[in-house]
Parts: sequence; C-alpha cells; structure tokens
Amino acid sequence: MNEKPSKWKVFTAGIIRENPVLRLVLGCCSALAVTTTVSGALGMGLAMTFVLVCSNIVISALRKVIPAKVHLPCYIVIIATFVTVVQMVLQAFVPDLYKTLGVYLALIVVNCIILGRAEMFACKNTVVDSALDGLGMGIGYILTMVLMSSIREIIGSGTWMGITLIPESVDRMTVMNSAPGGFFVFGCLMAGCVWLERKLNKPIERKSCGDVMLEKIDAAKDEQKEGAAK
Amino acid sequence: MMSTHIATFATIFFSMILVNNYVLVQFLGICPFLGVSKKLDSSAGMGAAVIVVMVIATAVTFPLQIFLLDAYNLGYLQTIIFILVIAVLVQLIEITLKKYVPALYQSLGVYLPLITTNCCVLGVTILAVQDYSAIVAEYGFGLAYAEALVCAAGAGVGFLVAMLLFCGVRSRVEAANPPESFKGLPITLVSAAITSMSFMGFGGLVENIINAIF
Amino acid sequence: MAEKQNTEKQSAFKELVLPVIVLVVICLVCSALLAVLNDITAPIIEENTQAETLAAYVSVLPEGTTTDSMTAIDGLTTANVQGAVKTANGDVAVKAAASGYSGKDVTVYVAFSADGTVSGISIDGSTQTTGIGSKVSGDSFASGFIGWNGGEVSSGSPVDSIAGATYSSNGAFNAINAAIDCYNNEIKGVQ
Repeated sequence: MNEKPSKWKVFTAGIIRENPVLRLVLGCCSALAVTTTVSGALGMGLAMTFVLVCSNIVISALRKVIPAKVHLPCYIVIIATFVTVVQMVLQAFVPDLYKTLGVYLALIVVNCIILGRAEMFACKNTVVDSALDGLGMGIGYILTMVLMSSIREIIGSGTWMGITLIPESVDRMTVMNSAPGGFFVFGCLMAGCVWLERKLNKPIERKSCGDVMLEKIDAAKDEQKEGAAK
Repeated sequence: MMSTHIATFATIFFSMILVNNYVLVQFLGICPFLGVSKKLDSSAGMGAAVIVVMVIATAVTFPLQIFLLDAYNLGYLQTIIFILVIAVLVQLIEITLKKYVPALYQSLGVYLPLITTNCCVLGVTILAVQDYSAIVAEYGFGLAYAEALVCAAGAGVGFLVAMLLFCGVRSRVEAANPPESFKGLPITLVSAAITSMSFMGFGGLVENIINAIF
Repeated sequence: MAEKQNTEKQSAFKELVLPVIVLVVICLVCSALLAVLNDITAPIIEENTQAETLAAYVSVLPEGTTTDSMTAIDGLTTANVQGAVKTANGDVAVKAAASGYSGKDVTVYVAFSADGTVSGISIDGSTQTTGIGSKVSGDSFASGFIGWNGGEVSSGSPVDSIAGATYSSNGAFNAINAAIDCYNNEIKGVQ
C-alpha cells in the first residue's frame, strides 16, 4: 500500500512545489489579465481560492455519487455555482472589484486550475485532503499573482496597492499595464523560477495544459490514421 | 443606411481580429495558444474549430439570454447555463459532423472535445451579451443579434490569426539559442509579448481605414 | 432467466438513468441555492447601481448639490436619454448614451444651468478601445463642452473629434446632442 502524504505536505504542495501558475502552468489567462493592479490580483486570488476550496470539498464529498459518465458536466455545474456565488457577493459588496475583474471572474469556471484539481485530486481523495489541497493551491496562486502584479503595478503605474511609490515626475512605463507587459513579466518570472530550480539542481519539465492538449490531439490523430489504414 | 450597417459590421469584425484580439490583447484562450501553436496544422485545425464553435455558441446563447434569462430575471444563472449550453453544443456538433459531414469530421473532430473548456468560447458568449444586449432596446433584436454574431466570428478569426502568426514566430524562436533559464516556455512568453506589442499598433488604424472606405 | 433479465435491467438503469438523475439533481440543487442567494443580493446590487448613477449626477451638477436635493424627472421620451434629475436651483442633469466604436455605448452625464448652458459634463468611454476611444473620457475632451449653449454639437463646435477615434467621438457627440435635445424640448419648457 502506498504511504499517504501527510496533511501538511498536501497543504504546502500547492504553494511552492506544485505552484499552479509557475510550475504547473495552469490558469495563465487570469494570471495575465488581472495583474495590472495588486488589489485586482489579490481579489482574483481570493475569489479563485474560495471557488477552489468549495468545489474541491463538494466534488470529493460527492465522488462516490457522481457516475463516471457525467462527471465532467457535474463538475462544471458545481464549479459554476460557486463562481456565480462569488460574482453575486462581489457585485453586492465590492462593486469596484467586480468591475475590475469583469469577465475574468466568470471565466474562473473554465480555469484549468480548478477543473484540473477536481480531476487530478478531489475525485480521488478525502474531503479534508481536498480542502487542504485547494487551500494550498489557492495560496500559491495568490502569492504568484501578487508578485506579478507588484512588478507590473510598480513599473507601470508607480504605485503599490494604490500608494504612490515613484514620484510623479518620473515617467511611467505604461506598456506594463497592457497586454505585452503581462506576457513579458510572466515570461521573466518563469525564467527566474527555472533559474532557481537549476541552482537548486531540481529542474522539472514544464507541461502547460496546452501541451497536454497538443498531446491529446496528436494521439487522436494517430488513432485516426490507424483507423484509416485498417 | 445600409452602408452604415456594413461599416459597423466591418469595424466590429476587423477590430475583433486586430485591435481587441482575444488571445494577444484580452488574454483569452492562452492555454491552446501556448501549447497547440507548436505545430502549424494543429494550429489551423484548432482555430477553425474554435471559429465554428464560437459562432454557433453565440447564436444560441444570445437569444437565450434575451428571451429567457433577461425576460424572467434569471440573469444569475448565466454562467451555469452558458457553460452547459457550450458543452452540449460541442457534443451535438461532433455527432452531426460525424454522421453527415465525415470529411469535415476527419479534420476538426480531434479538436472539438478540447474546446468545451477553452475560455475564449465562454468568454465570447458572455462578452457578446454584455456588449450587444444593451442595444436590443435601441435598434431591435435583429441588428443586435447580427452584431453579436459578427463579433463572435471576428473573435474566432482573430484566434486563428493569432495562432497561425505565433506558430511562425515560434518556429524561429525554436531555432534561436536563448539563455539557459529562458529555454522553453519563458522565451515563448517573451516572444508572445513582442507579437502582442505589434498588435497594439493596429489601434485606431482599423477605424480610419473603414472610415475612408465607407 | 428472470434473474438475468433483472440484472440486465439494473445495469441499464445504472448506465443510463442514474447519470441523468444525478446530473439533474445537482443542477436543481445548485439553481435553488443561487436563487436564494440572488434574492438576498439583488436588492443590494440594485441599490449600488442607483447610488452610482446618483453619484454621477452629483459629480456634474454644481458644487454643494447633494443626492437629497435632487428629484428625478420621469416620462422622458427623447431617444438615447436614460434619465434626468433636477435640483431646487433649476439645475438639470441628463444621462444619455449613444453607440460609439464597434457598437458599444458611450454614456454621458450633462448638467445644464437654468439658462440652458452646459455647466458640467462627464463622459464614460470605458467601453471604447483603451488608449484611443477611451480618450473621450479625458478632461481635455470633456471640459471643452462646458459653457456651450449653441444647440447641436459636432466635431469642431465646440470640440474637435479625437484623432483616430471618430466613432467614439461621434458616440459622445450623439449622446450629448440627445441630452441637449431632451433638455430643450422636454425639460426647459415644462419648468
């Protein structure tokens, strides 16, 4: 029998060892889109963590009830429910944040972090483990988002959480606030992460959900060819 | 009057491709963009499948929002209903193609199952409703619906264009020799930044060209 | 024989009916939950939107105006006009919207003093292309309309269109014209 990882290990996995954004390369869309300000990134991170923890709990609680055939639609409905809960609560109590996050809030539904954790972890593990896994992943996501948005906000707007750090007389590099800045900072952060891994002699192979997608496509194409050959 | 409609449609279509490009400017559909753009044929197939699904999904969700969700104050079910509709539609498209257009199924069938959870499809349905449902009262349902569909088609074509362009950029990057730490995904992201910067130059251009034509 | 049929029936049930039932039950439970939450949050959201609109009216009306001193003007029929308020001093603020770039609305709040002069204006171009069309929200564009009392606005009178953002500028002009029309035809005469 396999030795079960301790609760603490499950919890800390997501923070560094399996950091969802920088190491597992999941959920890049929102990581790029809402990191122009630290407050927006923090809000997104908290919303994401809430959905991640709640959906992990419910999915692992229902893992014996949900038939394999319809597991994906069931997961999607459960996740979408929690996303809508977050949407309504934010719209009612933090309308400014709701406006900043815009469509990316609704897009948490199709964020690969959440569906990925549901399929990789929650559907096989106990409720407590799944909750801890969700919490760890969420914290890892928040930390990365805050780091990335700090770089972008300080360079792009000269502020941090709205507090002016760089005097007005210094010109801002506003490109950091737009799309290219997002890609650039993300690329550099990941390069920094790779550099650290190499220093510590623990390189890993990064496989984004897009790579998995390409693998699936290739496999399906091979199958098709074989079918045609027969 | 007709020419103003055509001008509006043309601006919507081309600005969705160049100015508001979903992948490079709005960060929707980054996962397939980073992964699938490694191969040209897969990029083209994925892009074509996304165009088909985006247009059909918007064609279904837009009236659903106006006549069901808005009419009965069920706006809060939007996310759930849209994602379920997309999931069902993708299945239906797959079955229909398999049965009636096997040739097309051969080329697109592989990509369809991967599209349900592609955030640019859910994104386009939500954004189309957000942007164009307000003008239903002003111009009538027909025109708003047409604008939403043009927007969806433009978004899909924009996705395809971004995939194909980036596929070309990537083949050059792969041949280059970046610093050790940047190898793989980091350098891909940095080159995406540069590609995205080139798209920033289109702002204002589309509008002026269309103004000059009509 | 009968037993075999029975197990077959059972497996068919497990294969086909059970998944559907589970999915439907999950959907129903989720919808019910959301409906309850919606009942709680909807009034708060409604209040927020109203407060926001009122705050926008206050921001264009002369200093010292408070939300309490405004009364809404109902029954306006001018196209594109979404609402209006008046104060005890005879100041009026009108909210109007017109479509700008790629069909998306530019919203304006225009305040008129008692003689029909534009005394304050705020233009919301957040739906327009960032950095180009969104410049209609900028002070340098909006402030040019203040003091205007010459009827219909268009490019050059009193403000030039923003270069490269003709659609967004026209959206702003059309919305302001709707507000001016509404003020002249429906509000000025009545008061």
